Amino acid sequence: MTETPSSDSFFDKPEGELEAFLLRIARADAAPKAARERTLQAVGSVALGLGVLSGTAALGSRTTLLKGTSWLVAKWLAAGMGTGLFGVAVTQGVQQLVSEPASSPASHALSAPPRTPVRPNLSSALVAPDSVTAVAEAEPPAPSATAPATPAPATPAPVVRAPERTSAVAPAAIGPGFSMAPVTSAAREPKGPPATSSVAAEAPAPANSRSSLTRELTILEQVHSALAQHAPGRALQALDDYHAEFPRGSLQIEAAALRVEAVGQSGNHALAQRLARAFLASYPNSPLGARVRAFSEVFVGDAPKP
Amino acid sequence: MSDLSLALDGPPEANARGTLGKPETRARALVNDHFDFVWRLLRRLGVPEADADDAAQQVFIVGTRRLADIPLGNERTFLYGAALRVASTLRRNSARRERFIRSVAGDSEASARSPHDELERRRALAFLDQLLSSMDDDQREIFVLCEIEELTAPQVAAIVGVPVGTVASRLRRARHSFGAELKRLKAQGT
Repeated sequence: MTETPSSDSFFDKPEGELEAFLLRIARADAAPKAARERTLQAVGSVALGLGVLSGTAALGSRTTLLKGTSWLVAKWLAAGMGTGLFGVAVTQGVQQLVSEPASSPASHALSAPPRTPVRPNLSSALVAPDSVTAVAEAEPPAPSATAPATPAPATPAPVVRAPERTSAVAPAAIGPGFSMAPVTSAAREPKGPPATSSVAAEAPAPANSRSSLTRELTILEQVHSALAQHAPGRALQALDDYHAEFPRGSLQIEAAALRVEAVGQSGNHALAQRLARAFLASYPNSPLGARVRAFSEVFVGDAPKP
Repeated sequence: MSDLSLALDGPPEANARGTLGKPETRARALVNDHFDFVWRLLRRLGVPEADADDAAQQVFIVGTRRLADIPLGNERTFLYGAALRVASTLRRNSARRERFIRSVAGDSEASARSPHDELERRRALAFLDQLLSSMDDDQREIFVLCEIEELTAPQVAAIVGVPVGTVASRLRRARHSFGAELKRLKAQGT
């Protein structure tokens, strides 16, 4: 990757200062809280599993690091293959979701998939016997080969985040002894209610190359610099460009937040407020929520009374 | 090694939960005490943000399964070592398969960062990762552990499993490479 940031405050720092700045930012980088929670649940099940499955307890403690990681590696291998945990039917469902054209530029900002991933957790699958690991170490066959002979029911509910990321081990490869569907549904929302169809709306983010990420950042940086210069028209144009180029980009939520600002700056405070409310509803856990909320409250007095 | 690891793992109170005996309790303590470190380390070693959660989870699952093998007070050394290996496996695999996807998707905890600040932060991290990716993996591991995690050379030596002298020489080369790449990209970008 050869792209470099072009017009950017941190990039303009002198070398020594820039180096110190980068290291400082990196030291402050922290894991998302949700990720920690998922891992806590996962290790909880694994630890309990070691106690419950006395027959496989020794397996658990003897499992080598290599084998432990191979499962993940296999998952990655499958990432490019589009092999879904839930088989052909659900994968098709996702493809339909993905291929749905976005309706209008105004809705783009808010049609982004929620960024709080409902992620299947690996723990239950990982307490399965070695055969799973052994299978995972093999090259994953083509999706059609690993799809179950009888496709899973085409309910949208099991569409978790990105099925192509969920598992390397297709049901057929795991074998009849391991029904993956209950495992995932239990692991995904251990305490929650059954998944609703709204979960299906979480279309997967596409695999992003570094360069496309850089491109996304560049466009949003243009949006930001337009806003900094109080040029909302230019900002909105850049946002439209962003959505046209990256209908399912990695920075959808940031783009949506920027759109609230841009629309507000353009003077359409009622729309800005509506967008802000929709943003907060769509991304209740977004770190940008507080900012959007504060921003929209500025307009409260301006909004026409319903 | 155990003295050193104790120093690495902080005061013994931090590990007191680990002594309670129940595997689940100790496993949860592992996560609570070390998750951020492991996650950040994986990120800087080249695991994309979208995959860092799963990779970190993997590290802790390995840790949980091998709890019995991890001496009390040695947790962080073990987890760091496991994280290095997970990251390295992912890197190797991805380099071969060109499937190292990268995404900045994720729910950051920055509570009230403005979109601009958050963008700036992400850009800075992306730029840093670009610099890091120009290094040899050996140098990168040492650089991240020394310069970002701010561990001492003996601690890093214990985690990576190389002599302290090797840590020092790799760090020297890594710093040089980092500075040179920074200079190069800056010259290119202006």
